[in-house]
Amino acid sequence: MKFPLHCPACNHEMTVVKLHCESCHTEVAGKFGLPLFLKLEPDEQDFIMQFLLDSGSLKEMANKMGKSYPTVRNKLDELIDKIKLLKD
Amino acid sequence: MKTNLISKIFYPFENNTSNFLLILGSCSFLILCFLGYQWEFISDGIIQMHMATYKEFWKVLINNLINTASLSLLMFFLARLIYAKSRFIDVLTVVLIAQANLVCIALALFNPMLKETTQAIIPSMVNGTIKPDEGMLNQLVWLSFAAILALVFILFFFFLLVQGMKIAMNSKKGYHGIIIILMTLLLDALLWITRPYIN
Repeated sequence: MKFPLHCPACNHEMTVVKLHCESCHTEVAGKFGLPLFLKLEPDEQDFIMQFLLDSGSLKEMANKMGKSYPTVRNKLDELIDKIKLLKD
Repeated sequence: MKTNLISKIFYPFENNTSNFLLILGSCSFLILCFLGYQWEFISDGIIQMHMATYKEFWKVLINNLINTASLSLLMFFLARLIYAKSRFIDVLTVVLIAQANLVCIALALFNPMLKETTQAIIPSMVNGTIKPDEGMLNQLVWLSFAAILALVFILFFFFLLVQGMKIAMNSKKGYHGIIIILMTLLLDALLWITRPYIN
């Protein structure tokens, strides 16, 4: 199931209010902000994971994705801008 | 499958690897040189092609290299001004792929069949003695068709050049496309005037 980042009713950012332990069924309630990585779209998360798995080689990544090097580099630049914005 | 092929042709810089594009562009460059040598025409400008006298293959190669190198350097200079991380190899690939259209233009305009037609029509046009018989009409139709085809490929040349350059320099601004077209036309005129080619 896709992790819901935004409220389906008003599109506001979602927060975690309950955590559950699968082993002992302990539940912790509160208001937890999402980690930055989870605030990214699934395809952006996949991109970062692939970037790590390819040891940060954009060239190798581009070859695996069947895309040109500048296309992949531009996607990374876009992602950096988005992360900077989210951090602020 | 069909959509995939169309996107690979119309958006080659997004949907093909850099290595594949560079190999394809280099091959089309060599084909253009070979056609220029075989069919005796000169690319004396970025989007100029004219009939010429016979030249050795190395002379045709250098003349085409002048066009490719000058356009690549100009585009690289522009790309570096806009985006500091631009690489020369990406710009060169864009120029080579865009220039693949020149092969199609050469095939349309300088093929032996059309050359024969042109040579038959030109004297009549110069003397003003075109007779509207059926044979002449057919030749004119073929000539017009080839000219329209060449025009389409020139437009596609600019479409690919702008699209590829905008990716190479990570630009999303529309006016950058206009600058690319204007600079290319300016370089074309400059090459046409200065004629740095080997005769």
